[in-house]
Amino acid sequence: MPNFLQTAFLSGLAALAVPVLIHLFFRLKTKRVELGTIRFLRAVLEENARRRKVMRWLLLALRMLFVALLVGLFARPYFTAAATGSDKELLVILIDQSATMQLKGENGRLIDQAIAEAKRLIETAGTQTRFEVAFFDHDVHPLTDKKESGGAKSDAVLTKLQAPAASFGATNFGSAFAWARDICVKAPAGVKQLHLFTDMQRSGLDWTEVEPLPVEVKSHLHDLGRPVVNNVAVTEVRTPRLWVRPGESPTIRASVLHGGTFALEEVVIGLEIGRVEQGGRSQRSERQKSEVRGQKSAALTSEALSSAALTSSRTDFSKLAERITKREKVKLEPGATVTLDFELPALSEGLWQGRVTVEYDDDLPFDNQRFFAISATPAYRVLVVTGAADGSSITGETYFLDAALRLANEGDSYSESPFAPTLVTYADGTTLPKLAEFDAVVLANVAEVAKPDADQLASFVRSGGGLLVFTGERVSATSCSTLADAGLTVGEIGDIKITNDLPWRMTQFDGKHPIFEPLSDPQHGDLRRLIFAAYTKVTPAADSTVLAQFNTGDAAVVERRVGNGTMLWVTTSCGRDWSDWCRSRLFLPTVHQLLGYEVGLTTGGRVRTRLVDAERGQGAEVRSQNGRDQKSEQQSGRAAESEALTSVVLASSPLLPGVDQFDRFAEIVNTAPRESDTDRCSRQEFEDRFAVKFVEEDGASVAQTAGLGNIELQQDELWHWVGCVLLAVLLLEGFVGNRTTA
Amino acid sequence: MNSKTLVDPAFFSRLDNLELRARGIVEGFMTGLHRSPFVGFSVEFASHREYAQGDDLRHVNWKLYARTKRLYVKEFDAETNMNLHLLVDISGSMECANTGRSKLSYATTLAAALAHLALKQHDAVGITLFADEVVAHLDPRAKPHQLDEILAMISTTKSRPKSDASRALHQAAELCKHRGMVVVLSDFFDDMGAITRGFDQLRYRQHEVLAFQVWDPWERHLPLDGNICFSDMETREEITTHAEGVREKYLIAIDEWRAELARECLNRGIDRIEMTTDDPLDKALLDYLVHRTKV
Repeated sequence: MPNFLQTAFLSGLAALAVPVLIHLFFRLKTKRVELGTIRFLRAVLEENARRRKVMRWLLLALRMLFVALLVGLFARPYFTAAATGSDKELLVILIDQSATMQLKGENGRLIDQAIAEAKRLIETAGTQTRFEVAFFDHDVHPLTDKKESGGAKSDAVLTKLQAPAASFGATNFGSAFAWARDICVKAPAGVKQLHLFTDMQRSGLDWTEVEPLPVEVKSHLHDLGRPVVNNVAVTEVRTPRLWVRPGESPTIRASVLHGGTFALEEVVIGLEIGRVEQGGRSQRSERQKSEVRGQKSAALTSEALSSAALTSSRTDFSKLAERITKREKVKLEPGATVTLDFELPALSEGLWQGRVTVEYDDDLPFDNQRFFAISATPAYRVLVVTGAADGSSITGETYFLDAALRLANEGDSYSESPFAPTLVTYADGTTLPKLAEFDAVVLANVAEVAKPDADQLASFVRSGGGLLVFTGERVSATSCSTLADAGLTVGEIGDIKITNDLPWRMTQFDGKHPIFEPLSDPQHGDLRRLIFAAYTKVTPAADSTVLAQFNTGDAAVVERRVGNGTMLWVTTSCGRDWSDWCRSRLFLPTVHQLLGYEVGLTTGGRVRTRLVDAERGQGAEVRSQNGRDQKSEQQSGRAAESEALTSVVLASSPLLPGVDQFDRFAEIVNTAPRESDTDRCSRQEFEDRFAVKFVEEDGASVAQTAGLGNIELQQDELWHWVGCVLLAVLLLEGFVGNRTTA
Repeated sequence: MNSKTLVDPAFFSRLDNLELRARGIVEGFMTGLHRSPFVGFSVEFASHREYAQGDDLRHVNWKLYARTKRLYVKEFDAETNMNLHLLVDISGSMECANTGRSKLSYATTLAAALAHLALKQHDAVGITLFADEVVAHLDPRAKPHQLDEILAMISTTKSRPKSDASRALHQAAELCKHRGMVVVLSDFFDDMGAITRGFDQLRYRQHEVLAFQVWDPWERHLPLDGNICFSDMETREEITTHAEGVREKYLIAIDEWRAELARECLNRGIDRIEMTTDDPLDKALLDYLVHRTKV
């Protein structure tokens, strides 16, 4: 009898009734026609009545067979037949290395016990036994190389099988079972056994849907968990905002969970925060960051990792300036969560990093502290340069731009605005101020930039500054020659295109780009509705990216990387000369998105948060502070390049709790709160969840069963044969159907 | 059947024009060839015309020749007393009406038109309705009210489920005592032997036989798709089949049968005219008139 990998698809066999129902339906649904005589019809039908009857039944059978084969194809059948002549065996070992496996057991940490048992199992296995071993938490970390198809030998596995010194991952049994299942399905032959070493943490159950293991796989559960765990954890640290103004006094709210069985009196909850020294920020170059990340990756199985991670080597709190320490004593009831508020004094300008710590010696120290950061910095300083002063402010080139950036009327200010614009008029004889004070520069219809100023701008952008250029009537190839020489144009600047009849629209834009993503939903404002009477034709250079186009096909917004900075050219005016865009409700969000992209706001801002299981945890919602997906951020535009190194490192190594400091932002990494919940599931619950039946046996018999590898099971998938038969049946059905009358 | 449907004023109005046109055709092409086979019937002088080759010398006006030295022939109003026997099949198969008009309706309307036409030409017209036997009969007469009697007979007669062409045509042949033209209107859905025996009876009595074979378009072409339950209107037998699957062979069987019927008619000197109920009646009448002038 064949077995099936995707047994759920077998429910599709109910579709066998479809051909029969269709057959009956068409028999019932007949049209009645009266003829003078049917003797001619009778003569025709009597010629081969028997043959037609056979053909009809054959056709019905073929159609039912087609449906059955189609279902079988999706269910992926395979044969498992016993064959003699081989003593090979496959042993799949899954070892839980989630944070809770650091719990102390009778013989050391649970993870150490698991390693010891796994080694014993491997050592007592048959000589021909192959092994597939993997650690798992929220992800699977195989020890065997992919190229070792069919598993590795015992000595190779024993060498690699070392317990990690520390781990912070969350549990996900689903991904581990999916990996084991794939291994078993792909394995060509032999007795297959799965050994699962875990603490049976309930929070690891509900993450992914997985197909059950093949029926021939014998599964063994090694439950290492403790029935009672005394764990106190900081599960959440919430700041009112990740970005405050200098001088503000934020309140930090921390949540502490007591997972033990007895109430705890006067448990000390401490808060520690300090300002990162300016020098420290500049010293952390990309090279240094990669070194830190590289150390994290290499130190996973070393003793250094444990101490480094637990004391947060990346953030040395003793070296922070203006350190503030607060302590609160709370009473913790079993199973309850207590929330505390820590009032902070006014914060001076800078990046503030902190942590909330439970000063209690519990069973699981990994979640006793939680990190946070607050950026106490003023608004991004933006230098807005206009080409010429206008007598009337409302018709000025930058009147609306200035108001949009300040989020206030002329003469007023708004403290929450992310941008602080400084307006200057660039006319003959004037020079640009020192750009080091600014985060971004906006050129609005500026022409004839002097060569020293162009060089200063180029240097500013190369060092990481943002440059946003709006064209206008003054902008032409000739007037921008100095900018072009300094490498600050995005392509060849052509003539001004003016329409006399139908206005132009911005019909196409990259809706997945961080600038336009919030505007891609027409309910949030449809950019296609904006109309323009003129624009400057720009032919983008090869290294430029067109982000938006007019309906003529010409570029509307062009991006180009220069050094560490980014240039954005908007090929139309930000004033009222060429369009009423600046008066529309889309002007403010679009300008904020453009400049926000330049300074890094659209990709997460100055402080970003994530959980250790964020990257690979299936089903986990990983959001940065502004609600955007970290992954998409890293794939897009400027963020992609500036964080490329980080992404590569993150993809190849697990995240560790702490605060990472980058050039333009700090990233807070914390453990998953669900891992702090040490509630255990029962064996039956586990079996029901993953449709697996564990073998009932003690440790000794497990070792014996591991050595029984005398029968080889020939396992061959049949889907390709089913596909061939299906094709043949389809052709035959067409052949018979064309030659069958009722 | 309502007699009003048989004498549609519009159609009969067209019929008068048709008669004139038919006569024109006949006189134009068959001048000198048409000769009445009957002697002693009354003729009425109409006019003179110049002699043409082929004219009967008996009609030359010799007195006029003596005066003018030119040959003129006398023309007469053609008055013959040809007997026209209309044999209408009223068997169940003639009730087939898949496109709105039954074959029986078509045949009886055609019979009424032929009667009207013949009576206008002073021919004697009689009608016989038959199915498995002769159901009703009216001897040929040329009296003015003969058409009314024919219409009354047609309109009061109902179809009969069975047909027996051999027996019915044999009885009809006995009833048509005077030699003349016999027009049979039927679908001829009967045994070929029975049909030919009936024709033989008619030919034996030296009647000129003209067979109008009336088809329902669906019988003729089977323009149907899908699963169809076909019902025989005489036997009530039913066959369910996919029409498109059998159409090709059905049409072959129909063509073979038509070819056999055509061959049998040709052997007996019988003209056979096929028409479907969606054909205009004018066409059938034109065929009749062409045939009539040969008599």
